[in-house]
Amino acid sequence: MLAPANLVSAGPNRGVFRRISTQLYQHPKTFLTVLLGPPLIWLGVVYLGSLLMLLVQSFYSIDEFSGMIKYEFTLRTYGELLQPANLDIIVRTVTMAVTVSVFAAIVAFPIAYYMSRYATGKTKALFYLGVMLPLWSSYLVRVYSWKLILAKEGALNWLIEQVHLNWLLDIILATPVIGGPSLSISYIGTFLVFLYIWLPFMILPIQASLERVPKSYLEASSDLGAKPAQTFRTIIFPLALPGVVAGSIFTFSLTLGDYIIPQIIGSSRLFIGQAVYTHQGIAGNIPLAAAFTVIPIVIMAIYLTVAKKLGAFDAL
Amino acid sequence: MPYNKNTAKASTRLKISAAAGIAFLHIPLLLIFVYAFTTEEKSYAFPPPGLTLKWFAIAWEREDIWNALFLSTKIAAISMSIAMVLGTMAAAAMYRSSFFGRESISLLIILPIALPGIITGISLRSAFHIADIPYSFWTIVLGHATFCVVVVYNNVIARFRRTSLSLIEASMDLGADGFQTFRYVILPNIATALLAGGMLAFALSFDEVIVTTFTAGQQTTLPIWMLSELIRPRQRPVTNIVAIFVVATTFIPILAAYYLTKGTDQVDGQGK
Amino acid sequence: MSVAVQFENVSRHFGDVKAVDEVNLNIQDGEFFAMLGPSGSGKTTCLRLIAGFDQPTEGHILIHDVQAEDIPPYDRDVNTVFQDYALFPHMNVAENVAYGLMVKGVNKKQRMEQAHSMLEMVKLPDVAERKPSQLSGGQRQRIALARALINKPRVLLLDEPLGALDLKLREEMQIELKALQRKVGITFIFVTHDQAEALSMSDRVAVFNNGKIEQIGSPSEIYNRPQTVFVAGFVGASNIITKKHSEYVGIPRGLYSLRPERISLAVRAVDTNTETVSITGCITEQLYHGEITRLTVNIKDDLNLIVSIQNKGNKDKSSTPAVGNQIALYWAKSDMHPLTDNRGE
Repeated sequence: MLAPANLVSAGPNRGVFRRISTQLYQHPKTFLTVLLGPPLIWLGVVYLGSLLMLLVQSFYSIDEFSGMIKYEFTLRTYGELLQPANLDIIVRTVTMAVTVSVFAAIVAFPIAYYMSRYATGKTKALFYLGVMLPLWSSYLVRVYSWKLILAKEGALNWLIEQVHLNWLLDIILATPVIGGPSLSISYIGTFLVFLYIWLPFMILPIQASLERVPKSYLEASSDLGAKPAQTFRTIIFPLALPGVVAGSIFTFSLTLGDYIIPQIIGSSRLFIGQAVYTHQGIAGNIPLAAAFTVIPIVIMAIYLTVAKKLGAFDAL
Repeated sequence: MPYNKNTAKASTRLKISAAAGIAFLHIPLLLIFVYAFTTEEKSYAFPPPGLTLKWFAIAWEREDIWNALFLSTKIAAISMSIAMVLGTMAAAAMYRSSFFGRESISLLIILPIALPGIITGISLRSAFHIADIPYSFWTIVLGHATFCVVVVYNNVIARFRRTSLSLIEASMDLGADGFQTFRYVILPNIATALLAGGMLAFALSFDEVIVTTFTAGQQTTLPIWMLSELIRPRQRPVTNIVAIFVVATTFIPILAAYYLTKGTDQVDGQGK
Repeated sequence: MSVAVQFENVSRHFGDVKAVDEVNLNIQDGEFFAMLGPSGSGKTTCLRLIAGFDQPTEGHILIHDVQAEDIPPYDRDVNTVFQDYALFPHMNVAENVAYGLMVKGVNKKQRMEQAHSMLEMVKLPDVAERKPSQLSGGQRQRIALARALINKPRVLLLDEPLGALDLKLREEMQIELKALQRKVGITFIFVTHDQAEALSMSDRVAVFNNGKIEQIGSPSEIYNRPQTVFVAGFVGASNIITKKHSEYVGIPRGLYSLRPERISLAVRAVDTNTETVSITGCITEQLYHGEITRLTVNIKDDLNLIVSIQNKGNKDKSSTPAVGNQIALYWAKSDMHPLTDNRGE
């Protein structure tokens, strides 16, 4: 064997590096530990540790008289979640998350389909950037833009007036539940902003899964006599489904936890995120806030398990 | 939705739906640019009664905006650096080896973005409270780096998977030790993906607000400054100026990330 | 001759899969040694164990009498030509070839000089400035060779090096590789699934199957005296005469292989005697291969013999016997080789 000693000199420190490198080669487990250690300490201790401590606190309760946290195990805080007012919040948030996910999938599909099947070269790059830029650009600014659009004196009302559709807007706003005094103080407003903000998260996974459907499948399908609509129903849609589910992981999770959008655009009725924020902040009721956060965690855990079974993770 | 799939040309309906979707994503952002020039100060009147450039000058003079901008830039730069180191390490460890608990670790890396930001935020806040850690620049960085790691990780591991393992083996075979192999073979091959991941992490940190509100204490980052303006508007046109500035600043790293990974692999878009 | 590479009871398990199963092997210094086998037979794993990319689960590997398990690839006096060539895409050809010298700390002028002389050796002096992506498959292969040889290793490992080349180029490279090995005089260990390649190039061949070595020997030993059913079937075509069949043929009960080209046609059956077996059968299949024609002859029940006949001179295909004809066959008993049966009958 060629010993390192009879190599041509490789710089003054080479020997040390080589020795470390050889040690790591001889102990692959140590090598893995060295690589994984820092990220695991960061995520495992800082992140997971905090998360678990928070969950533990959901089993404490707040003393009604002193307002101090009682460090005793109890399920009372979870009981509080079942109070009608809190149940309302949960139902409202989940309904919104479902609605947003469904509509996002409907709006996203044609875009993703066009991107993956027809767009080539420059058009494709343009579409891709057209989705990427809003996805990564400032969340707050994008929410802010809707404050401008939905304001009474804002762009949307101006447009509606120009085309004389005020009557239609009035009908929509007069609809119970989804309506309200104006668009920016209604569920429709909140819904529109959620849809707008999370839409790119739905487009990209669908596009990715459609991109993976080989052209030959479609050719085979039409060769075997399927009409375009049949091909769509029996080939394209089932194969794109993991992408839709993957996208909905984001739209669903993000809607469940958001507290800024409903605070800025919407009626004053609370969503889970706002409830968490209020309870931990002004009220100082960390146990109840923690119990509230358990809901999105549980919903997402179930969702992720199902999604994984459907193969949605491959579309991520 | 019966589209015309098997022909080479898209149906008009599909084209219109796709174009409308993209327009829906971009018109609101364009509107902000219009508002930056409006002469109207007290409301969001549309169309703007007049156009002016004076708000740029006024915004320029605002010390609070500059301070928030510096703070945000500093946090984004440091979070990005930490995420680049940790994300690369995790990707290098995960991309080929199989070991007990590998699945759980990949779940752990994704968790900070899979769960709503508010959960990360409140967890960290209560942990700081319990551990008696005062809010500081570093408490913000701690939160940001946590969710930035996955962005770098996703980009780098995608590149690792596309890089043939035999390149690394060839380098070792030819006499390069682990460090030399990293320096001469691995780094040049993952450089663009790493940089792209870093850019996206920067953009993500630069305008993060949900976690930041919980970890910032009394400090004001640019997004926190904006949030307070959104809730209690003081000088609307100045907010508009800051808004277009933020959009412009985040567009640059995103575009850079796109061009860095163009042709090799798509930037992992699901990282937020 | 000293031993270049030695395997002592080497096993490599991946979970429950025994990729390499108690292999013992001695490869002599200066030998052109082929590891032949189907994919998944363990030959590539053996190569990776020698290079140091993988570690044996059990047993020891000695490279020039030094136990190698703890020695990382960069300290082994062994270099590899990879199946996908593994040329560094971000470096040009000269930088690729000079890589081994660069990481040793050889100065730029010297290493570039040596790289150029290596490029001349592989007959590609003009591509130094190009990127690997601008080269053809055959050129990449030569660059990979030059890069592996610049470190002057004592053992060169080649992992299916010709697999990605088309037939014509492959035959050219076989001759060149053989010449190159004679010139540099070092041990070449060559992994392939192509039996013709293994037979034509190497001094010795090890036939792998299911992680074990079925037979080691010179190409002619492997071809003419296969020891197992697997070797007889994998290396060239063989008729396997089972114990049951040996009764039909009128020979002592046993398991034999018989090469198709050893069987001759006769106009009529002669008697089986001490030296020759003679038998009649019906032609059920006739395949024309250019230089030979292959007949399948049914003797009795499920005993079918493949017979290959040289197509000498007779341009007319019809001069060979046609399907459906009765035919007489004979062959020398010494052409039948007893096999050990490791698969059951």
